[in-house]
Amino acid sequence: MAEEIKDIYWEDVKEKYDLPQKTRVIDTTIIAAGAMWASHDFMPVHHDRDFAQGKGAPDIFMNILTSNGILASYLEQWAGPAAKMKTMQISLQVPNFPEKDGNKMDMNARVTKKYEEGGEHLIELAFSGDNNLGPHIVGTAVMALPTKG
Amino acid sequence: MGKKYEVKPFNSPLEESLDYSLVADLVGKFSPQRDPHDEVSESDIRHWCEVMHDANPLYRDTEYARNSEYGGMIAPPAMVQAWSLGSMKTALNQFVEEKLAFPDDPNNRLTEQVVKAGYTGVMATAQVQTYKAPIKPGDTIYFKLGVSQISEYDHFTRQGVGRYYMIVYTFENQDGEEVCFCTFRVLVYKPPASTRKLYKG
Repeated sequence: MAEEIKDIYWEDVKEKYDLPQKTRVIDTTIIAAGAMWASHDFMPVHHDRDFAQGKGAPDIFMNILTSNGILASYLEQWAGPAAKMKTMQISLQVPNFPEKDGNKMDMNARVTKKYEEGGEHLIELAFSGDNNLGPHIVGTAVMALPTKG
Repeated sequence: MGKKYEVKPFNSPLEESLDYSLVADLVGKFSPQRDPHDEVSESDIRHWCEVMHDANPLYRDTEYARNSEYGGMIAPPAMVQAWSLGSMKTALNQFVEEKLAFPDDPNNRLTEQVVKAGYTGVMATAQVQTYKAPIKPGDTIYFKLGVSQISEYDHFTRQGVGRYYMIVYTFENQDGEEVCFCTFRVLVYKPPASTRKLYKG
């Protein structure tokens, strides 16, 4: 918890602002722990290599809740605890497989819209997570940010 | 339907395909309200945050959270679905033994039909979650799930020949307050003899 708590204010955000890129290592531990330990998903394709290969996949792969959670955290970490996540919309493309030499997912996001609605100060973000095989996840999120006033 | 599809969709003549009329009546149906396997707990939240590398003090720092607008710790909103997934035993029964806990639920009746038609691979491909109220430790997150859409013809995907369908979830806490509305798009597919070489090139 050594990380500094920093809030991003709505007034300081500009459309077309790019968030700093973050990278996550994608290995067997994070895939299996993400599925079973964090999101309670015991579908064996996310932890049992033999089962996954029996289903036609080359290896175990990350479950959608972990992918969603990692990206949601990436955005929330940037915005700070006073921000509120309103909507996460994602779609998955190539799966996140573990790889011997290490698979990595690069996460990027951009503020695409800044607006007010229902008394809330909102931003819309487009984000992506790309691994060694190509795009793993793309999506948009809406967050409410605190204001200075 | 009639002229809706001018271009004939991909369909191997050698393979049996799902007969849409067997599942058409499931679209728009919901299950009864279901119980989660556990109530929301601080340790579940910690597990989630460790994997996601989430250092938000609202999820992990009791002192900070008490002084926030929530008056106490909350769970990461994206975690909402974690409590609705069955226990290890239920899940393994479902995916390995293919014994479903609630075989009459519309999503399970759909699963039964697609498996029977040979679509044995399953993959979640898209999801939209709209968060409506905060989730707190001690909450019980009840849920209902329904089927909102099923592909009427086969798609040729990277995984194999398959169908997409859309599952809709609503999540409610013990006070009857809706905490999240979620749609979930699933691909079921017929795994080809070797999908591995697809990933090598």
